[in-house]
Amino acid sequence: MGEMRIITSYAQEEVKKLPANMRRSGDTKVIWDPENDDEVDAAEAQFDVLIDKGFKAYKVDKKGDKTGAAIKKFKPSLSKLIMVPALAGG
Amino acid sequence: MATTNGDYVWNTWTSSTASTGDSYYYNTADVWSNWSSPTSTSTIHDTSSRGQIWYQWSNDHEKASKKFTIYADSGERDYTAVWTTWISHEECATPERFGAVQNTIREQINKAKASIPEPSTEERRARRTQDNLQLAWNKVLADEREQERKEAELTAQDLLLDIIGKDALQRYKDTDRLFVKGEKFDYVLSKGRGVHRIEKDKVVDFLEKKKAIGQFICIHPKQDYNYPETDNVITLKLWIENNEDQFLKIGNLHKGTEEIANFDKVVNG
Repeated sequence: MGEMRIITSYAQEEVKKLPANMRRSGDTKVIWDPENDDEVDAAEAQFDVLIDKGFKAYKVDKKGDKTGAAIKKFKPSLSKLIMVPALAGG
Repeated sequence: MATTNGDYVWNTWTSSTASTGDSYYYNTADVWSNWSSPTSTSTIHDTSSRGQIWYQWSNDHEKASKKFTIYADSGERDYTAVWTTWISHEECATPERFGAVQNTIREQINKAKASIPEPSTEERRARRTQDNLQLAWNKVLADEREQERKEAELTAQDLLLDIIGKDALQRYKDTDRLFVKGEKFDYVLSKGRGVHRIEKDKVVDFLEKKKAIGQFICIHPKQDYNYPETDNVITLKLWIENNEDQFLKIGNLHKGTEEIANFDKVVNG
């Protein structure tokens, strides 16, 4: 199973559009079965929307340790991702 | 125009239409605009004795009120004391008069308010009940939001646990700060908001003194600040570890340095 944790603000429009069972208090969790095309497509669509919005995706291993640089293209085989919003200077 | 009907001239000239219907002898519709232009020290719609009227009026009131003559379409007249008349007549809209106008309006408002009948006892009770219900409902909503925030913060800490492990999370909980190593600098991220950048070679020196000095970087997730505090920390940590150059480019480095509290504990627990 793949897992994408999306760090989102309370008011993020993308979060509001998600089905209720995918919304959580805090980060949003999207899970997909690499063998299930519908789930993979939905996760990939969500990934692409957020990347277009300036989010960064980072791969972590199952324990959560960071294992590499930012990911720009979604792969169903990825086990765990964290997506974080773009930054702005204060 | 004469002094006797010049009462409204000031009002007219300072209105948006900015021309006087009380015509002057020479093309008087533009008199005000010329007189009030930044470069104007005199009216170019000048008869022989109107030179520098505006300038004199606005700079030498004493003199203006006595010596100048304006020519009107009805013929030459002596406008001695025109200025005085304009600024002293009660119907002239000089700044001094605005206060009187405001008072009049205030009186009218108070009169209108007084004409509204007092609510009956039943109406007052109903209104009070409605206010109380509204307050109670607001509290329910506020409590829900607060509960949601707390849950979101716990979720964010679970995610941070996945990334940094149990010991580091405990240090973070104890100090409300997270130490992050970048390639160029080291950083102390404060829970919620606040980043201190530390020169790598200076950390060792300051570690010996159990403290560190850092420069503050102002940087935060885009769009709004409405993230769980620890999600903010996670975001900054991942950016530093993977996109440090971009992170430094985006953030605004504040001048000056400041001591970072509990630095030893933040790093070593």
